[in-house]
Amino acid sequence: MLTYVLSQFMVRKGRTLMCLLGVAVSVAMIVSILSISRGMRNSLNSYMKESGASLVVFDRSAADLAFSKVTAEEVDKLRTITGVEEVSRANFTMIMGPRLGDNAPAGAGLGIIPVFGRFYSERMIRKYESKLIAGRLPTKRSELLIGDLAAKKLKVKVGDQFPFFREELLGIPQYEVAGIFETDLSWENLGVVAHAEVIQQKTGPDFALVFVYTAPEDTARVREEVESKMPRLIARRSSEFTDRFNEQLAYIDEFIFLLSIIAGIVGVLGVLNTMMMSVSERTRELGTLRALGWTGRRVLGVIVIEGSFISIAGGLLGIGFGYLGTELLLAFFSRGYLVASYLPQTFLHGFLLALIVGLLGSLYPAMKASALQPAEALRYE
Amino acid sequence: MNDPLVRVSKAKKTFEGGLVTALDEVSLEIEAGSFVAITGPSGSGKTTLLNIVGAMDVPDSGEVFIDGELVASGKELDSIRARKIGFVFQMHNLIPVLTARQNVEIPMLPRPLTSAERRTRALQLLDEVKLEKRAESSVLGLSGGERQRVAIARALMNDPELVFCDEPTGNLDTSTGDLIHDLILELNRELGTGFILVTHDQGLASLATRILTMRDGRFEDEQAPA
Ligand SMILES: Nc1ncnc2c1ncn2[C@@H]1O[C@H](COP(=O)(O)OP(=O)(O)O)[C@@H](O)[C@H]1O
Ligand SMILES: [Mg+2]
Repeated sequence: MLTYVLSQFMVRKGRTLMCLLGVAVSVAMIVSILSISRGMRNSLNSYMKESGASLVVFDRSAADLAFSKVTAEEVDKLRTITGVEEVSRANFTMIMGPRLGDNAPAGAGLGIIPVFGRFYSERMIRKYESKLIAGRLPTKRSELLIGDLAAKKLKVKVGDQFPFFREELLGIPQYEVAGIFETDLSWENLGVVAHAEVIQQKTGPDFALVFVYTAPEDTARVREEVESKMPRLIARRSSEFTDRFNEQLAYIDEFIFLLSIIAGIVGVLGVLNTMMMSVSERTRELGTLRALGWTGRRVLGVIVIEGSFISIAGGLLGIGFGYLGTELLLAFFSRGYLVASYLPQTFLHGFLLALIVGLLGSLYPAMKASALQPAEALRYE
Repeated sequence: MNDPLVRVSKAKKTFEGGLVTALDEVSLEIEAGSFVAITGPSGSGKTTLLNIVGAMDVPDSGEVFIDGELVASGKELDSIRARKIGFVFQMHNLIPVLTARQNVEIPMLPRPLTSAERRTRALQLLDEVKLEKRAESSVLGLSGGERQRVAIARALMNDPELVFCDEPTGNLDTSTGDLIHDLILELNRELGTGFILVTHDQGLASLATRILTMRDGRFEDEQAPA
């Protein structure tokens, strides 16, 4: 049986290969998007977790952390909740490399640099202590902590002074590199930690999020109390930050689901076309098989197996392509901002997509083939 | 007295919504192991008759029994063909790319046999048709006569009662065709398998147990072989 199925691919090598590649490209696209979305989610989770905080508090209605606002009054209120040991306020901005302007060190790279605003007296900054590869933690507002990738891009080293923001915020004309850190997250390494008050000059007085430290046994209660006292805010365990960032992630998942459907339809059309052509070219041969005693059901099975074979082979190739493509994308185009995680579920998703494509795409041709009247099929020129 | 292997009574078959009468109330009985030759001009209904007798198609009216089984629509015609009947066509209808042996094995694939059992049977039949040396050659590399011999071996794979050959030498030159005819005769005598052969070769027809001549969907008077 297998020999027969494989022989069909030999007869129609070119077309089989084209169809297979079509499925592979669809699957590769989905695998790549899924890997990157999981990677970004995981990296955000581990970023939050690495803060060492028990809870992360942010704006419930914000579609993205970039739009989250927690006011100074709310921070004060947080501090009064029993069980809250400490809070660390954080804000955030992004600057373009070119903002360095004429005063940029020679050859400094372009592109977007995330800037994480922290208070140097608060607990959150201490997480960098163990990540330092040069220098020390910053203590003054005019000092910066720079990720190792950002340091390379900006071509600066510990002790260097340069006008980090074009505007002379807070009257600081030059910023000094206090230390250089390296974490596991490439986008954090591409970033710069600046004093939160400097960022406030650009983004206003509110904070994007607040890290809350509690004793482990208090965490659940504090979380409930934060949310009941300040319904505008949402408090999440730092380790499950993105799991609970529902709206935004549901949106991404829906988007991927939609893409999967589109990729699936493209794949189904490819398999459908290939198998329809194969069935119509093979009319006499199928009539012969029926004359020799093959049942219509067996013919149906053979066509479905053929279609699924092409599609599954395409799927496996697509998983390989997806992996390699993502790695290439990360290596050459993402400049470190994208992160991928390759989960078994992602590969399974790609495989199932291919399987469904194969089954759906070959079902109609298979039904056509099995409905052929053998006597008629043999008259076919 | 045994029942005949095939009994056809008043089988009628029309096409094109009744405009073309391909078989006009034909009746026929065929004994097991016989060698029947069918001749007649093109379009006289020979292929239609084979299709109906070979459980490929059902008559519009009339009855067909094969080995006691009624052939009618809604019945498992595939299974009757698989168990009782073999076909050899004018065009060999072999599957390119596959080897001679793999082609011969095709009718047996639906059966629950090991590949070794299938292989043994296929090689044995290729031996019968004197092609054992080409068993592992792709059919693309075989001559027309060799391909037709592979097709005959394939028709015998399920050990049928009756093999239908529809102008099996129509695409071959005379001397190759004669060899095929000799082979069919030999198989009929040796294996006791019945053959129904559509042919224009009067010489061969004269060797048959019976000769049926068709015209306009009916038999002309049956001739006893000379
Ligand atoms: N499936 C079909 N559809 C329409 N006409 C058919 C079909 N099969 C056979 N015929 C017609 O029936 C007649 C007998 O055909 P056939 O049995 O093939 O003759 P033969 O084999 O003797 O040449 C012819 O007129 C042919 O055109
Ligand atoms: Mg004919």
